[in-house]
Amino acid sequence: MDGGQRVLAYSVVNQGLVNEEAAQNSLAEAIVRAGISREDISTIVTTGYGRDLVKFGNRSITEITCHAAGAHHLRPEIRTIVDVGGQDSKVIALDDRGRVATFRMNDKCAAGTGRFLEVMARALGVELADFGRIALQSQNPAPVSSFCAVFAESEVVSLAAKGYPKIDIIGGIHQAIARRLSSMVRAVGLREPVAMTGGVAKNEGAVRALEQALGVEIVLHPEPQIVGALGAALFALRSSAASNGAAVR
Amino acid sequence: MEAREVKRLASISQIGKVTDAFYDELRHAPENGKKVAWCGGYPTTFPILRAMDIAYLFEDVYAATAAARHKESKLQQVSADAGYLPEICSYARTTLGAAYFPEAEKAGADPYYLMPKPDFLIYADIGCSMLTSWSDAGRRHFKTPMFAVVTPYVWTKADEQDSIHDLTRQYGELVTFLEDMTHRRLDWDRLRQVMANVKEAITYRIGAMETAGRAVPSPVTFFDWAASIGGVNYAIGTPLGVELFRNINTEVEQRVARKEGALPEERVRLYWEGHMCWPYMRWWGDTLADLGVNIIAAKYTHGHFFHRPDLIDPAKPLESLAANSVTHLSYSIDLLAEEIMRLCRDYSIDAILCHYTRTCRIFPGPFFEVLDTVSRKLGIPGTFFEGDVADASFFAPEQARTRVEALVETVLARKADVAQA
Repeated sequence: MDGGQRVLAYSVVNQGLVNEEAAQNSLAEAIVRAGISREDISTIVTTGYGRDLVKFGNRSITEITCHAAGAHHLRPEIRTIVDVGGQDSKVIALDDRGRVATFRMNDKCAAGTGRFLEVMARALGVELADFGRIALQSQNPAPVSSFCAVFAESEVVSLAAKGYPKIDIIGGIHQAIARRLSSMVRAVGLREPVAMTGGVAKNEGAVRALEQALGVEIVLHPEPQIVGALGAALFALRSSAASNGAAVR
Repeated sequence: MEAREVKRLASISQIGKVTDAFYDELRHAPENGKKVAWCGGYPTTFPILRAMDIAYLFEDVYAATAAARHKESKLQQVSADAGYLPEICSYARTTLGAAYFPEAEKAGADPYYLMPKPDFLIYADIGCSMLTSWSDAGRRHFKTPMFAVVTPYVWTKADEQDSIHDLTRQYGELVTFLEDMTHRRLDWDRLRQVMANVKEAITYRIGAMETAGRAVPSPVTFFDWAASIGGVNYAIGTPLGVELFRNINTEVEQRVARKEGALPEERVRLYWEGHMCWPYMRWWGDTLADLGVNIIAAKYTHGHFFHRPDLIDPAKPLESLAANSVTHLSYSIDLLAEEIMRLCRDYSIDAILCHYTRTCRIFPGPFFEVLDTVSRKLGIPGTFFEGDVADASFFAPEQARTRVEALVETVLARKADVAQA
């Protein structure tokens, strides 16, 4: 991000286990794409799991605060963010200044996260990239009651054994995750507009199921995986401006 | 990450020695001709036991101490081998592990696992159905008599006196039960002396917590208050207990006079709702200190373990025990929220952190309602984390850290707004 809050480049890498090398590779790729050198970067704010592991950052801020800042920057009217990533899901309520008013996260297990969808896709032999699109074709979603990835996997096997079509099982899986997320939203307090961020926001089946569960239209950014990073960049810009004596927005 | 240095109370260090001495004496109780009671729930029965020279194992705290000392997994494995599922109360599973500890493994085992068999069981109930069935399981296993003191749920302040009246009757029946078990009469003068010691010790304890809570920065961390519970459980009613809490109170007053905070920097003051997370107490202490967070008050430390010294009249021991059995744990949601709001206001609390204990259904039950009420009325934020009292497998440190850190960021952003305005 440059001083005018323009995003010059970004890079998303699948890091597997949290590790600094992946973060370094991502930074190197973003530098190349932006056509700048490392020395041109004045401040780096790290966020997400492993934010403290990344030693080349100047400061770390949680993804909750960063997603709030990023989403507010993109659409200041956003009042609720549903962020669903691979490891966790969270619902963040924003005040009218874009600050975190309150938040709720999933519990320790993978229920309601991208990992849940990954495990289900693998169990059904479907590519994750196709999972959401297939869910949209379901006219009669199967009843999937489990939120736990392990229990749901055995439930899915039982549904298949009972003769449910794969399309409807996939539809039911997306409804299950939507139920989980909508409970978290309602516990925080549903306030529109609602934005969805994180990798699962790229899954159109999950987005549609959540829209139906909440009864609202969900606002999406074309690249929902970088909203937290965008927030981190905004904080970096403020830090940089403050240290240069410039006005801090 | 290097943890910031926390100034622990020097007077608290005595509690470790008191704890070790207590268990050592308990292990040798049968050979010293003492009856042994295993007790669950509240510590309010202990003054009577002490006055009758009955040794006791406080089951909940035995499990908590096991977890804090990282000795819980072996005991939980024993109870799992006996058939107890991992989702049930980890206090119960840990203590039942001591009950079922295999004879064949006793030689050379850690002495902490080797508790003397009870002659009878007592539980002081707070509406915890698990405690009832856990005690019942112990009764069947050991084939011993059992006595229950049950605290009614307190809907409004007006109900409190009815509860105290009913509990006084129950404590009277407990005395009869113990006289039957020991074939000895209770020496009431001795009980009155024990209660005088309880009153003095608890007056110091509650006074110290009040002084520390109102001070900014606070001279004590939550973890010292958690450790001080050992002084209640293991030394209540004794001159040693009085000395222990007198020393703590003096040290707190001295620190306040010097304006000395327990943390190098106290940025955020929290209220902790729910149980301790005993297996990770050290982690919590380091993590919170690193974030500049001090937990100023908690239901567990501030609303429990003889919390009303003003209602202790040594001349009326049973009424005094009854009055101290009506705690935050038996309060309705409205009363609990009111009490938490009082503490939040009096102690300048910035936010609330709730420990959702995965193997307990009693403590976390009212969390959402309480947090929602307090947040709305006082305008302070709060969050939950999942963990457990004594089972480390239910806790994910990185997730918990993210939640607390986000809560801290939220509080600091609000403070910055206020400062800017």
